[in-house]
This record gives sequence, structure tokens and C-alpha cells, in this order.
Amino acid sequence: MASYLIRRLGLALLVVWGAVTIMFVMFFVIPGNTIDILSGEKVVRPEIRRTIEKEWGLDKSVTGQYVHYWNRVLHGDLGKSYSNNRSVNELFKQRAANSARLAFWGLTIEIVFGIGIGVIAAVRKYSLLDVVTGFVAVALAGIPVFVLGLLLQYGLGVRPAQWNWPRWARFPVQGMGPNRWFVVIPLGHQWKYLILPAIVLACVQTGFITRISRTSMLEVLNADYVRTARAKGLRSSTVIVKHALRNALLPTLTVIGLDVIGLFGVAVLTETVFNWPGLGSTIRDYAFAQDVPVVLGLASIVVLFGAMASLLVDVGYSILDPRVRLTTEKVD
Amino acid sequence: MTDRTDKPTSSEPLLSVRDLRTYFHTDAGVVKAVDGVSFDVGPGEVFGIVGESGSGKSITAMSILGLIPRPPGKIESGQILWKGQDLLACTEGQMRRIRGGEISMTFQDPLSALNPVYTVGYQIQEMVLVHQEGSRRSAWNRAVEMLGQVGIPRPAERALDYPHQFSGGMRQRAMIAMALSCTPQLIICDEPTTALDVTIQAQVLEVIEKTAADLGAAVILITHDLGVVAGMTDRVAVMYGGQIVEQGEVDELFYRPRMPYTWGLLGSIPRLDRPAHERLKPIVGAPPSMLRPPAGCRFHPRCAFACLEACTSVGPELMAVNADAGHLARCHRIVEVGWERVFLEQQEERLQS
Repeated sequence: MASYLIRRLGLALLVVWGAVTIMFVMFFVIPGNTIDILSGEKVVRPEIRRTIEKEWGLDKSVTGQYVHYWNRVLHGDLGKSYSNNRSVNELFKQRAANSARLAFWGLTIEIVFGIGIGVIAAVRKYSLLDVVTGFVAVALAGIPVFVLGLLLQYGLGVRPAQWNWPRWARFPVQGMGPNRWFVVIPLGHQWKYLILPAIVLACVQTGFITRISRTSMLEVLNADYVRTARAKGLRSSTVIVKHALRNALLPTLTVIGLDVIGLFGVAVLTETVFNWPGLGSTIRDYAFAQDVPVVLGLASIVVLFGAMASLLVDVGYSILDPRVRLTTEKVD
Repeated sequence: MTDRTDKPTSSEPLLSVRDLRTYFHTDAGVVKAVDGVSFDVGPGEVFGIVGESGSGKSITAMSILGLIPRPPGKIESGQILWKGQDLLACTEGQMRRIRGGEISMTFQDPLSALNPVYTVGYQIQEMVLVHQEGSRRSAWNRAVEMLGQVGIPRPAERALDYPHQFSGGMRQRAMIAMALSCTPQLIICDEPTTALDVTIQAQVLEVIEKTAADLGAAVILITHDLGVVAGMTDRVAVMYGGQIVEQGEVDELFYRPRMPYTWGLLGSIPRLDRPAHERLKPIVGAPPSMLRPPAGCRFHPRCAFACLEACTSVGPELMAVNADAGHLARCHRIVEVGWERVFLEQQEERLQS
């Protein structure tokens, strides 16, 4: 187990290295000169240009810059923003928590509703509930995030305000409000700011997870060991939860693992629509400004999280399914 | 075991299946998987059900325990009397107590019939906890004890293993241990030897026979292997196309069969007392589609003796052949004089040629 984990950790770091390298190269391949962009295409005197280039290390070769970059990163410094001189480490500290909280709730909604509805739909196969949830799941998976976000903002925020609905029925549509949290638990009115972006973030994947857990649950409910469990005289709730669900979770877990990575992608859109100051919207803002250090630094951390998530899925698999052993040793 | 062959008729039967009809309503139409099956099983008796794949034997067993998936399956009519109580009228709660507690079942492929994510011991313990009073500890001990009883070495250690760590024969033993763990009065073994090597088959059958006898439990042994039936059972029913086509005490049925299908089955067993080059005699044709069973006798399209007009138009009833041995057969021609000689003559011909 330990050797397996070390090996997987090594692989994860390799993925991060590869991602950073590709991004690094990409910034040199895309057209546009950093100084031109920073100066807003104005004419910059050559000596100033040289000073700036020297200060930021832009006068070195690509390889030189690359080595220099890694040198800094390995010393724990992600660099400074070209555009406003802010430290990327600081930016990360400010924004990561916001992103993590939103992602946590998005993921929670996904897992609870996705698996819950999927299981119920499978157990009540072909019932009205199954048909309706199936339709809604496909619809949710198909609606673009910004459309759904705007619809929710309109229906639950804008319209209620226009019609003078009571305060409790109105939801704020922008920003993250009071920013009061206990770790990830929203305090006071914070939940009102959280709920809409979390729902939007979760929606696409909730649809997928519903369908996947329904399918794998249906398969498992027909399995011989489920019949055995019933033949043993167990309650049908025990049969479903203990014998069927645990096996049905395996394929679902894979999807959830991949999803953690996808969540950052969706988060860019969600955070933009709701003006949520997280990593996604920050990366987007700085990417428009071609602010290489910020984008590179934050994106590589996102990649690192993604790699860790898939490692966690593998560990989760070995906990759920004893047939999967995390060893390189021979299995008897 | 022949000394108690009169038991089922003289005393109250433990299980009495009366005209059971289990149909599956599929998109293609109604599949009459079990179509009017009746039989009794007495206390402590070993009853065999033989038939090809799709003849309805497993569905009969699953109907008894109420394990038919519905939809699409539905028990259309009939009675399943368990100690006089109709199981088809039982509530789900009553059925739960009977399943595993009074009637238990082992399934065909033990690798897929055991849950891959729980240890073997846990799966037995779980069942004991449902049916018997006592702590988790004592239920675990019971599981270990049962594993030992079915001949699993180092049962206390092996109970902690997962099904995939067991061999095929051990898995089947574990299934038997599980089925017997709550001292049921009837255990239904669905094809217990099908997935096993021949040497292991004999061991598993012995385990079933011995442990069931120790507990005084009756056994319904479902198989397509006549050899298994001959060695172990008191009475046998032969199923074809969802119906019982011949039934009787095992010796009577093997030595004086009347139904041409049974003849075919007996003729297709490899035997050591025949020359090795002799070809087996298969039953020509394929089992009937239960979606559209043949008119008349269901076996007539494959029957070499179906020469009566009634064979193709009227479904024969199950008729008594030898009341003393409880011998029943479903064939129009059994009333003919000298009918029982046909099979014997046929066998002699085979021996001579």
C-alpha cells in the first residue's frame, strides 16, 4: 500500500510538471509580447523596455526562464503578477478558500442528490419518478452553466425583488456577501449567497451522476448476490443499501473523481456569473491580461489538486472493493 | 433412505406446491416459465428436480421463496403450502422470517452469488443476526462453526476472507454453510455442482447430504445432472417446458421410466460400462420456446414416439403409473399395453449394436 501510494504520488507530480511545462510553452507560442500587453500597446522607449525585461527576467532564453521559474516554485514562491505586482502566493491564499468552499458544497450537492436520486430511480424503475428525474437529469446535464445561472438569478433574485417578495424569498445574485464561515459551514446569511452558485456548479454533474448511479444500481440490483441477500431474509432496505449500493458506488466514484477536476472548469463559469471571487474567476481575469505568473501558478495548483483527487479515488476504490488491492505484490 | 419413502404420502408434507404458474410478462409476450407444477416434499426428504436449462426448475425454486423479480415475473396462480400456510398469501415480513430461517437456498454460481465486498464470515453472520437471537460475537462464532462443518480448513481464519479468495468448491461450501446456518427445515440447492470439477462435485454433494441430514432438513436438489439425482435423492421430478413430465421414487423412475423425455435423458448419460467409442444419444432438437410452447404435448416435436394425433393437439395430463411408488408421467401413450417395454428394448438394442 505504502509503495503504491508513493508511486502514485510520483505520477501525480509528473502530471503537474507536464501541465506546467505545456502551459509555460504555450505562453511563449501565443502571439503578443508581454510588455506590449502590459503597456496597452503604447510605444515604450527601448531603455525602459530593457529595464523591465531585466527586472522580470524576460531577457533570458525560454529555457533560462523555465529553469528560473522552477527554481522559484520549488522554493515556494509562485512569483508576482506582471500587471499589478501582487504576489501569486497571496492571491492564492485569498482566493483558494472561497473556491474550496464553493467546490465543497457543489460536490456535496452532486453526491447527495446525484446518488440519492439515481438510487431511487433505479429501485422504482419505470415509475413516474424515474421518468421525470431521468428527463430532468438529461436537461440539467445539457443546460450551459451561464444559462442556468442567469435563469436562477432572474427567477430567485431579480424577479422577487421587483415583485417585492418577502426578504427570505429573495436571493442575492452577486458576490459572496458577508464572508462569514466556520471552515466550510456558512454562518448567518452567508448561505443565501452560497446556495445559488453551489447549485449551478453542481447541476451539470448531478445530472451525470444521477444517470450513472441509476445505471450501475440497476445492474447491481439484478446481480446474483442481491438475490442471495434477499434469500437470506434481509430487509429490502438493508439489501439495497448494504448489498447493492456499495457495489453500485464503484463506477460512480470514478465519475466523481474525474469530476473534482471538471469542477474547476465549471467553476470558472459559475464564479464569473455570480461574481464569486474564487480561483476560477481569478485565473480567467489574469488570463485575459496574459499575466503568465498568476495563471501558471494558480493553474498548476489546480492541476495538483486534480491529481490528488484521482489518487483519492483509487484509495477509495480499494476501501470499497476488496478485490482492488493497492499493491504491486502478487495476488494469491 | 428407502425406508422412509412412504413418509410424504402418509404424514403431512412439509412443502406442498399446488398447480404453480409463474409467468413472465415481456415485451415479446407472456413466457410461461412454470406452468402448473405440483409436488410435495416431506420432512427430511431429498427431492430432486431435473431438467434442461430453461425448463423452469430454478424459477420454481425462486417462486417458493418469493424471489421472482416482478415486474416482469408474476405468480399467476397456484398455492405454495409451507407447513399448511400458503406462502403466496404471506406478507413481506412473514416471508422474510421464512427466507433463510425456515427455507434457505443456495445458488448456482457461488462467485456471483456471494457479495464481493464483504467477507464470507460477515455474510453468514449477517444472516444469523437476522434470524437468531444473540450478539454479533455469537453470530460470528456460528458462522465460523458452520464453515468448519462444511469442511473449510482453518475456518476462523478463512471467515475473514473475501469470496474471491476462495476456490470454486469452497465458495459452494460457504454458500451451503450460509444456507444451513439458521437451521432451516428445507434447503433448496440450485445446481450446486454445475460450476465445479467432478472431484469437487462429489465432495460438495456429500457435504449437502451430511449436513442436511444432521440438521434433519429436507433438501430440494435442482440439477440437470441425473447422476447427482440418482445418488442422493429419494424422489425425483423431471421438468420439461415448465411442467413436470415425470415424477416418482428415484429407483422407480430410473428403472421403469415411461416418458420418452426421461428416456432421452437417461440415454444421454455417459456410462462407464459401455465401450468408450460408443456415441452418446442426444435428444434431437432444442428445448421449446416458452413464449410459444408447442401445441399438444410440449415434447412432441422432439419425441420419436409422437405418433398419436393427440400428441400434437392435446396436452397430456400427469397420470398415475404406479401409485405405490408415487410414479406419475405425462404422456398419451403410457396407457398402451407393453409401453414400458419400449424403453427397455431400445436400451437392449443399444447394448447389442
